[in-house]
Amino acid sequence: MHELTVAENIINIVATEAGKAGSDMVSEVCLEIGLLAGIEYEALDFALEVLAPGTVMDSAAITIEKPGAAAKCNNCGCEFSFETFMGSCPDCGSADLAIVRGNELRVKSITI
Amino acid sequence: MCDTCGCGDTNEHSHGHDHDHLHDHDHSHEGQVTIPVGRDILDMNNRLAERTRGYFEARNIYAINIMSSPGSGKTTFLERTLMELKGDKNFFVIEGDQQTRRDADRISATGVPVVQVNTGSACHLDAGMVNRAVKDLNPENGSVLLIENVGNLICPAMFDLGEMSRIVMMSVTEGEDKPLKYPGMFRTSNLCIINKTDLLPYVDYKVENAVENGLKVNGRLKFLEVSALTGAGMEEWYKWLLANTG
Repeated sequence: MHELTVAENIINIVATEAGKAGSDMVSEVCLEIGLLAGIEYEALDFALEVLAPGTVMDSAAITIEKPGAAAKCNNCGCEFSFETFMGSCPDCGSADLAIVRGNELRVKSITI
Repeated sequence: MCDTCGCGDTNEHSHGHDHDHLHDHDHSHEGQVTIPVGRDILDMNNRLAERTRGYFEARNIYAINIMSSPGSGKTTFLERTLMELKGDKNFFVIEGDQQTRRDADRISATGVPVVQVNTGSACHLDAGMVNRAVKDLNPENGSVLLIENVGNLICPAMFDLGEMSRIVMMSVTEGEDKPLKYPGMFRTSNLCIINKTDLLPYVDYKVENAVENGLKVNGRLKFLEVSALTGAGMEEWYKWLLANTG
């Protein structure tokens, strides 16, 4: 749903960073988008296909790293991975949890 | 073109020329350089949200982002809250809708200052929209700012507006499994308001099942049951509001 906004932001960031390096075209873009980031990967692929032509990403190969979800218990300190539902700590049952992986929504690197 | 899903019959990114590659790619790629970037894709939104949050903190304003599906009763909930608490607290309201001033007119009738934000083709409020609306509204020091987001259980969850708390509302006509279907929204919220409890006798909805589903997604989520129509349960919400806003 919001993937078009995200795709626009990606292209803007890539254009800015490529510009800093003195380039107006990139050959590769590596994204890091975690499973909890709220992104539908296929919708993002589609949005980038629509928006990339004529931009710095026109001929860029795009790779997406997809970190899985993990949380740390603030009570007992254990870390555990999960799929969608964080719920409570599998060791001590505490609900005081912090997400430590899976929320990533980053442009990781570009190749020029 | 729609900002979010790309539907529509215009293409803003057509530039009237094609992009054929006039050179071949037989050359080697040894000259290529990979540059680490590490920038958050919503960086601009998040920075602006932090600026707005700093403004709120400096002026002791407590901002709450209220999200739900369309039609779960956010505006009715706000109307009753404002009518019953406006003597105790200074309130200001930002109304987010894709189109119309209808909700702002309803809030305005309570006598509370309100700014309507029409998001046009976007399905959520973002930090820029709220930052501009706050400048228009100029909320007083020590006030409570209630931000009614666009009715949508997906996109608004991604966009930090600079708020101190997030509330997700679900109504009993929507089904107990909303938290499981839309975990992002429930994972990022502090409080879940279950509205329209006056309809419980007529629908197949068990509050305890909805709460159990909510806790699977976010074990720290708090729940309150209200009927904004009849006023049942609103006292608990007022206690929460007054306790959190000082």
